[in-house]
Amino acid sequence: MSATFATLVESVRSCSTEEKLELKSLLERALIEERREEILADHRRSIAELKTRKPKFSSSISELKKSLTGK
Amino acid sequence: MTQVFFSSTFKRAFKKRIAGQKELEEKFWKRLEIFTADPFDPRLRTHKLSGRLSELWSFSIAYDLRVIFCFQPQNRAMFENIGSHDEVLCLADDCAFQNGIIVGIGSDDFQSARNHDDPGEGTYLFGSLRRSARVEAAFELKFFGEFSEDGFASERETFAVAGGLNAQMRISQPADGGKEDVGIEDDAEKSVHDSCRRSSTKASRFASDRVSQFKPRPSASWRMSFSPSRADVFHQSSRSAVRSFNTRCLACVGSCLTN
Repeated sequence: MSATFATLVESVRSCSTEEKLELKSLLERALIEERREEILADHRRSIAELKTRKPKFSSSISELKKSLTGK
Repeated sequence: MTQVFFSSTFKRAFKKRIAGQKELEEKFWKRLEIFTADPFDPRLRTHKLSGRLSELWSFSIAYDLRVIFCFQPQNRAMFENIGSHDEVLCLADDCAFQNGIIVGIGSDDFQSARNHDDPGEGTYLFGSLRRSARVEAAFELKFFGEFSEDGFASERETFAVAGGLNAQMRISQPADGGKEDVGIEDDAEKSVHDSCRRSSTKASRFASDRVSQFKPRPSASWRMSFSPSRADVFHQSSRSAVRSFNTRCLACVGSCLTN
């Protein structure tokens, strides 16, 4: 991409209000999609972790607190 | 009691989004206590995620903060992540919009819409719908009750849509923009179908909240017909049964958003 960030910003500024709103919506959706991709990747990692390690499940809040915060 | 395990990814997310914020931390531990006693406690607003994340579930810690987890056999759950409403209630996966008409909506949306006593969630959902320039009409769906095969029942409201309740729907603008009724039909014999049912019975237009009730069946598909707005809703692979809805036109009445 030859356009620098600054020129991109300038291009966006020169857009009409309607175009800006459309761009805003597109960006919001793109960001959410990216985050959902991350969640999916984390899910795969967590499942792998579950299979490779011997996870200690617990319903004791104090045990869980310890495993999460070390306190 | 449900047993919980925190994955490394969850620990990272916790550190980033909750740790160090005393109030949030307290809320988290309180919610965890509720979760271990009953993951579908209405206070948690537990629900299944949609689309590619459909193996995952989430429950609410605070507004705009949800724990993402998956169930494991033997009454266990693995906490995997922490997400915002935008992330877990994303419409992009399951929804497409055509000509200003919603043709797809997921269980999460129902979940949000149903929490009409929680303006935050309702506002969120409709905010999302409105953000899409292609949406001209949106409907608020109010659940008056729900029961599931697993017995997650409630007298008036439940917040968990057990087993997922993804729907495809096509909604035309209602004739009067007023309250309309929805019937639900058990269509367990057909796995997936895309038939259309259209109703224009004037008599049913102003009926209050006549409801069809059915006992849930595993892997049943549910067909709902919106009457008389010429809208069709198809539910598939739903393990829960919804026994009552009202729909209301939102698009033209901004004040509906927080009702």
